[in-house]
Parts: sequence; structure tokens; C-alpha cells
Amino acid sequence: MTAAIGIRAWTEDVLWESQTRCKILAHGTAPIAFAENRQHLSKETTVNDKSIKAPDRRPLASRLGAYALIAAVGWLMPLAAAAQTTIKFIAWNFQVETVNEFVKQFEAENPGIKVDLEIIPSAQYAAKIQLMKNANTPFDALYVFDHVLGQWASWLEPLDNYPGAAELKAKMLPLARQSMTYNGKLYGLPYFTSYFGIVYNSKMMKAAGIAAPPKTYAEWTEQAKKIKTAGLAQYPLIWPVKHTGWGGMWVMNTMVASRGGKLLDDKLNVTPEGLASLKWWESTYREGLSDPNGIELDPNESARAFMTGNYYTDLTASFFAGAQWANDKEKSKVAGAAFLAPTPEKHATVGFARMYGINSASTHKKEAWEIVKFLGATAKSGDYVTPKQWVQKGALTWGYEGIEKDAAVSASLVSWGADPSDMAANLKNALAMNQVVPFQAVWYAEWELFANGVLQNVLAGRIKPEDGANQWSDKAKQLATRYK
Amino acid sequence: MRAVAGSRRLPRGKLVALWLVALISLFYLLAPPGWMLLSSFSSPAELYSRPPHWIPHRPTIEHYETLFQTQGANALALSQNPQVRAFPRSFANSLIIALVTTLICVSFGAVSAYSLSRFVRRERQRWILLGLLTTRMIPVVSVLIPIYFALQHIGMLNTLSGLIIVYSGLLLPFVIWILEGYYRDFPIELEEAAAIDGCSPLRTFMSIVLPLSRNGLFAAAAFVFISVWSDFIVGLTLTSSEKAWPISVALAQALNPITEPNWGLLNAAGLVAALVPAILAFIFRGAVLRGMLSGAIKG
Amino acid sequence: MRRTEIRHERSEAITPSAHSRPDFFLRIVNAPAIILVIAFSVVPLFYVGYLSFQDMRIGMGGGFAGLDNYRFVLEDASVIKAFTNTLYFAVLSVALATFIGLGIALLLHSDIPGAGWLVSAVVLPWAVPEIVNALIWQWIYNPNYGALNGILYSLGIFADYRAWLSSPLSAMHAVIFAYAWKLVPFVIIILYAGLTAIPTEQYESAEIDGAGDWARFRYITLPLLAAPLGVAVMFCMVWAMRAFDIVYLLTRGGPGDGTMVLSYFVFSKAFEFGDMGAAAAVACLLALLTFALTALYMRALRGAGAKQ
Repeated sequence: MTAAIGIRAWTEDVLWESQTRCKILAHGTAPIAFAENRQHLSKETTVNDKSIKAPDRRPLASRLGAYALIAAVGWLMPLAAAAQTTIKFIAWNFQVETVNEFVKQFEAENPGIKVDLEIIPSAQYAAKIQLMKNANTPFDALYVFDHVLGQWASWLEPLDNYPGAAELKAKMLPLARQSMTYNGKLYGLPYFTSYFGIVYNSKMMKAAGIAAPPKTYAEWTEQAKKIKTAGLAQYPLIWPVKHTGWGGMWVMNTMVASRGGKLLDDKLNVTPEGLASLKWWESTYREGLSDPNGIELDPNESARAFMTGNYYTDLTASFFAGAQWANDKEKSKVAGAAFLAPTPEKHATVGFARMYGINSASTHKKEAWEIVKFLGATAKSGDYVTPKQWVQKGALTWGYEGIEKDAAVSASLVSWGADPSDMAANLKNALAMNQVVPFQAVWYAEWELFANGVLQNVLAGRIKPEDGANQWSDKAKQLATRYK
Repeated sequence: MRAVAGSRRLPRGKLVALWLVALISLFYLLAPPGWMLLSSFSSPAELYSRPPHWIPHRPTIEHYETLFQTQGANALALSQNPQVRAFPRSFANSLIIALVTTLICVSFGAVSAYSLSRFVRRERQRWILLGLLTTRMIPVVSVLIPIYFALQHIGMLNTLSGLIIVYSGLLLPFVIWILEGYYRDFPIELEEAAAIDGCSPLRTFMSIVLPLSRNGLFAAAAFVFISVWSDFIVGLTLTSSEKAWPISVALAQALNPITEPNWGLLNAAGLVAALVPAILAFIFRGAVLRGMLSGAIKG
Repeated sequence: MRRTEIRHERSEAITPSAHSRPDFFLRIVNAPAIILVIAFSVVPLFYVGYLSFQDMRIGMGGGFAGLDNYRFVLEDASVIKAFTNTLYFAVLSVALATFIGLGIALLLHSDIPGAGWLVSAVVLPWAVPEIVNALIWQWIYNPNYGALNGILYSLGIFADYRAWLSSPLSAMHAVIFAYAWKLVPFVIIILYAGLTAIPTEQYESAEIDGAGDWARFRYITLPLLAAPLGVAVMFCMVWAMRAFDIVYLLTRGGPGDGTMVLSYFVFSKAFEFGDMGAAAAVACLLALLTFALTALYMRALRGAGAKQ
């Protein structure tokens, strides 16, 4: 039995590939019905390499029978699939089951559209998409990071003229609108937004006799020293500073924004606020308040470290304080005691956004807009179904005004200790990154990777803050000249 | 094997010293995979203690059950590591890809190597060999771009056949280079006898040379199989779903989770991934050693 | 010595063949190999060379760029850093692998019982896929639960667990150690072959002359091993300079640019920042560098061979 299934899978592979090649040449898309069949089969196929390796052991008749069966099925399926449009939608691997659910909800609402969902791990996402684009691989809609918008805008479809876009744009939070607009055009609808805040451990705070989270940087240092001398934590402060992905420089941007300034001025020199933030941050490492071992932690790892209860604060994205992270009753030792506090000084902060975009080379833009609208805004009912569900299922914050007023959303936020109106206020005031750094410059992603490395060197004491700042500035100028 | 000292019996002190060095070398070679083996049978509690329990007090096979999704599978681990679900499929993929590529490379490579060693003038031969070697000087990542474009053009991205022909194209130069050296040293008297008897060159090759060059062929086959099984970046770039994922890519996806990696499970996956090439290398170690010796020592 | 003499003889003559020319069928059977090699090994090479002279940056217009890419790349401090990293990485991993490989080869060569086990163990690092190797070492270096931390902690050398991959120097050496592990089998095989080629008479006459173990090693073994050593080192250097997988999987270029090697730099430039022209330029420079190194080695080897 397993041998037969094995052969079926194998022969189907061969047939499917040859058909797909013809299909691609003819229509430019691949029937996803086969993809679904494939997944069903793969669950049954056992790891019995003999069955797959040696089909020639089976009698000829049964082999021919298998071929005939699959051929018949194979030629019939595309006929059924042709009645629908299939769009290819690419996402990264955050909460894939949830994404699948939303896609199914979309398909239920839109029976004429089938979605071929492809998942790429977030670490390789930007690289893979760029490669696919360079090779003209067809795809219709996709997730877009705000920090590559400048690079991708040349091939993303501007959405301003699509039905309903103008109203949605007006309803967006400034953070979302700014993150998704490039050169005056709107390129996406919000997947989620997030702002940076201090996630703090109130249990540790109270045990040290501290009344409230820090309101100035000097106070932050004092509080950390107090906790350290009280023996409550060896290194009270943890930060996401990994050199790849978002982390170090975004925390830096937050600190600069909280002082009311930018990191790089118009001439791409580091501002006084930038240098002051860098110097303060470096001092926390020098004085043994920040964990030197944590310097290669990415945001997820630093959040998990925070969840062990060994740290006082983690300056990171707001959703890490949510019920899936710091307030996860099963996994977090600080559940119920982790809260979000605004940044010190001027309490201003930065935020970032992820969006849904459309490939301008897509041949199904109308359908792509439908799924982008469904996921990034309203369902057919006019209700912001998916954004609201994301708040509940992922503690992701939203991109439109007023979402927090929904009862279910509000309840889920309160359940892990957040204050909905407080969060909404923070979100409204959060600056988009391009207010602090040339975030949408084509060369920004490359500069940020370099800057992360320099930041690590400064924090670890290998180079002085002033030298680090100079390196930031020099590299920015070099890249700006290359991409003029 | 001859003793370094050239004498039959070694003095006691030297024997002990040699034994010590042997043990340390064995440890160095075997400890890393050995620790992987032990970790894969350890429960998280034992694994995550400080220091970890070197030999698990209570070994468990739960990681393997989760990997193959049998009775005792840990549902929580599965949901946190969804890539693991693709594991059996990617194992099958790798097997197919590696076997077919090996067949193609060894068969066509042997013919080409033989032709190169017998029918091409010395001068041109040297240039061709140099050329073959030069193709491997450039890092694979850079040739990936044109290869991706090419596959995209013929619609073979994310397919097993696409991967097979790419791997064949990438590994053939090396196979030809190895086997050419092997055939160059091949005694020519047998072929002369066959020619006298009226065999065509192809016939001579297939009936006489090929069967006798078994060592070299096995060595080349083992080399190709293991290289294909090991490859990571080509598989990562040219595939996009579990339909065509080789096992190395599936494993790499599992190494980038958003939640804390389940190290016991990962070690089990790693062991399974390493098992096939390891067993192969063990079976063919004699042939590989002998085959590579003749190909490797070229003046 | 006999084998080299025969080979020497043959290289003088035109390639010997029992038949006057290959027949039609032989040519046909050669065709697929030739097509595959040209399609996937030769053409991409030329394409990369072509790319290095093009301006192919994402989001910008394309076109011929002349030597711009090369100029940009050679002036870029990050490229220089990647270059020094690559050299450091290659030299140290090869040195480590050679040292260990030589020791194990000598061991295999000596007649101790149980050497058979060692032979079987030798092929293991070669068989283990690079991704699994990276997994093993990532697990060993893990800052919270790793085996390295465990050993050092229980031996009392360190008071607490450390993050080995979080400082550039430490990460670089960690990657070197992990990569050298994979190079060892090749060194062992080649050196072992070289050791078996040394005739016993040399040792026996030296022993009669009263030379001790160490003297025999220094004056007989090492010089006669020079050629195989050279081959082994050359192969390993070429591989080490192109190493990519281990860096990608362990450190992604290291904290900062601590383990950024040239091939990872090419990957990063091409796939993460979309600057294909500059990436191609670096790739071509790396290929030239490897080629130059190999040519140098071959010349040195020929010289060493002639001395014999």
C-alpha cells in the first residue's frame, strides 16, 4: 500500500512538473489545486525510501494503471481551476497558522479567487523577494517591510487610485501613513504597526523600592544601579542589539526620538542628540548595568531573556509586552507583572509598520487589491476584521484610528495589562522612522546593517562613541554618493 | 601499514603515547556528532540544566516521534516548529535528488573523463582540466544569480528536476577532473587487446574499462551523493516550498524559528539528516580512500 | 617512485589511445555532460564577469558601468575587512586542520591495533552535511545551555556561561574551529597517501645510522611529505576562501563584521541589498585571488617535486 502511494507521489511529481511547465508558458500561473493535493499526499507518504527508489519492482500493469489514473485526474483538474483566478500571495513565517486562517476567510468571502500562499522565513524574506523580482517570477501580493519600501517602490503598485484607497488612507494613523507612503504615493495597507516602549518588570521594580519607570535617562541609570546593588539582577538592562535584522539601530532611533531629535541631520552628520544617546547607552554597558552577553540577541531572543525574569527593562516593540510574550502565563516568569512604559525625556517614540503591497507586474491586480484590502483593512462588511483579529491573536497593534475602541480588541488588550487608550495615544504620536533617519533612502538597509555593527563595537567598548558616530556618518555619505 | 619507527615492536612508552593521541583524535572526530546523538535522546529538562547531563539518565525517543509524527509526538513542539512537518517529505526529496544526480554525474562523468584521458591531445587536455578546476574557484553564491534566472526562464524553479540538473552541472567538472586522473593511470593493454579484437571505443569503454574502474566510480559516486546531500545555499535559493525542499533547507528553516528552538528536536533532525551520508561514507570508505588517493596525488 | 616515473614517461608522449579516434557513439554520450557543464558551470561564470561591469542596483536604472563597480569595491573599507577576515579565517582553519590531520595520518600509519576504528571515524566529518555541522556547533556554543559552556563551567574554568558568538574575535575563532573539523578528512587522506609512498628503506637506513624518532621525522618524513602537504593545503585554502555555509548558519557575518568573509559579502551585497554589479565584482576578485593562489602553489609544488 505504501509502495503504491509512494509511486503515485513520484509519478505525480513528474507529470505535475511537465504540466506546470506547459501551464506556465501558456498562462503564467500554476494551478494550486495540485498544491493542495500534494500536501494531502505528502502526509500519507512514509519515509520508506525503498518504495520511492525502486518503482521498477512493481508489475508493469499497475504502473501503467497508476499513470493512467493520474493522467486522467491531472487533465481534469486544470479545467476546474480555470473557472477561478489564482493569485500568488507571499508572506513571511510569523504565525503561519493564523495567516492561513485569514486566507481561508478571504477565500470564503471571494469564491472566485483562490490564493496560492507561499511562506518565506523572515530572515531570508527580503533577499528572496529581490531575487524573485530580478528573475521576473510572477507573484501578485506580498508582505512588505517598511524599511525596504524605498528599494522596492520602483516595482510596487501605487494604490492611491484603487477603489476605497483614499478613505482608508485618511483613516490611517500618521505612523502607518508615513511608513507606507513614498514620494507622495501610497504603496501598501497596514499589516500591523508597532511602537517602541519600555517593557519593564514591575515585580523587580517594587522590590527595589522604585515607584515608577524612569522619566529621564539619568533616572534610568539610577534605578538600574539600585536594582544591581540590591542584588535583584546582575545586569538589569537588556536590549535587542543583534547585528542583523531590526534591533540595535531601531532602539537607537527610539532613544534619539525621545530626546526630540534626529539621528542624522541633513548633511548626514550625527546630531548632538544622537551622540548623547549613544554615549548614555555605552555608559550603561561600561558601568555593568547592561548585559554584555546579550549583545547578539535579536528582538525575539531578548524578549525571551526578559521573560526569564532576570531583567528590569527591555526597550523594544510594544507587542513583546503582549500575551504571546512577556505576559504569556505559561512561558513567562513575569506574566502579570510586565507593563509598557513610555520612553524617557519627551516621551516621544518611533514606530514601524509592515504592510501588504501589490506587484506592479501582476496580471491580477484587481484580485490582488481584494486580498490586500481584506487583510489590511476591511472585509466586505466594512468591518476591520483582520486587523482586529491580529490584535487578539498576536498582540499586534493596528494601523487605523479607532480600532482600540472595539470591545473584543479592548478586552484582549486589557487581559495582559495594557491600557487601550494609552496605547492608542502612543501610536498616534509615534514618529515614523523616516522622521529620525533617512529610512526610505534606497541605501538605508545597507547602512543600517553597517551601523548595527558599529553600534555593537561601541557598546562592547571596542571603539569610542565619537568614533562610532563618525563611522556612521562616513558610511552614510559614502552610500548616498553611490546611489545619487 | 608500516610503523613510523620501522621496527616490528614498539616500546611501551611510545605505545601508550600513541594510544593517547589516538584517543584524543577519536574524541575530536567523534565528539561533536556524538553529542548530537546524545542530545537527541535527552529530555529538555536534562538538556537545559547547567551543566547538561552528558549521558541522559532517562533517555527518551520523544524527539524522534515528534519528527516522524508517530504516536508519542509532542504536539506543542510540532506547533512551534511547523517546519518539522516538512521533514519526511524533504528527506525523500533529498534522496531522489542525490541518487539521480549521482547517476547522471558518474555515468556521464566517467564517459567524459575517459574520453578526455584517451582522445584529447596533451596540450588541450591540460587546458580543459585547468578550465574545469577554475569553474570551482568562484564562490557558488555568485553563480547562483544566473542559474536562478536560467531556471526561472525554463520554468523549473522549485522542482526536483531543476535541482538535479543544476547539481549535475555544478558537480560534473569535479567528477571529470577526479576520474580523468584515475583513467590516465589505467593500464592501456586491456584496451589495446579489445581494439585488436574489433571493439569500438564505446564498446571497449562500457564492457572493459567501466567494470574495472569500480573503485574510482564508487569514490566519485560517494563524493557526488554527499556533496548534493550537504548542499544548502543552492537548494535554499532555487526552492520555495516543501515540494522541492532538500533536507538541508528544511533543517535550516527549523534553525530560524521565532520561538525558542527545541534543541532536542533539532538534534534529532540533524542526526537523521546526517545518517544517510554517514552510512554511505562508512560503507564505501575503502573505495573512497583508494579512489581519492589516485585522483588526489597529481604532480 | 615507480609510479611517478611512469607518469613522467607518459606525459612526454601524446595521450595514448588504443583506438585512433573516438567513435560517433562515444561523442554522443559525451554530449550531455558537455552541455550541462557549459550551461551551469561555464556560462554562469562569464555572466558573473559580465555583471561585474554592469550597473545592476535595485531601484536604480541599469546600464554599462565600466570599472565603477570595481572602483567602488576596492575603496570600500568593508571589502578590505572582509578580505582580511577571509585570509585570517582560511589560514587558521587550514593550519588547524593540517596540524590535526597530520597527527591523525601519522597515527593511521603506525601499526597500533584499533587503527581500523580510526579509519572509519575519519570519513565522518566529510559525510556530515555542513548544515548539520553548523547545527552541532551552534548547539555546543549555545550561550544558555551549550556543551562548551557546560564543560568549562563544570571544570571550574569559568564561573558562568558565556556567549561565544557575541564578540567578533570569539565568534571568528569559534567558526574557524567548527570549519576546520570538516577539513580534516581531506588532509588525513592526502597525507596518509603521502606517508605510504615513503619507502621503508629510508627509515631503516636512518635507524641503522642511529637516528632517533624525532630526527627521522624531521629529516625524512617531513621533506618527503612536502608535496602531499602542499596539495592538501592548496585544496583546503581554496575551499576555506570560498566558505559560505558555516558563516551563514552560525553567525550571519558575525557580530558587526567580525566573521564577514568575502563569499558572505557577495551574498549580502547581491541578495540582501540588491547591488548585483558590486557583488559580481567582488566575486570576480575573489576568483582571481583564488586562482592566483593556486597558480603559486602549483609552481611551488612543481619546484619541490623537481628537487626530489
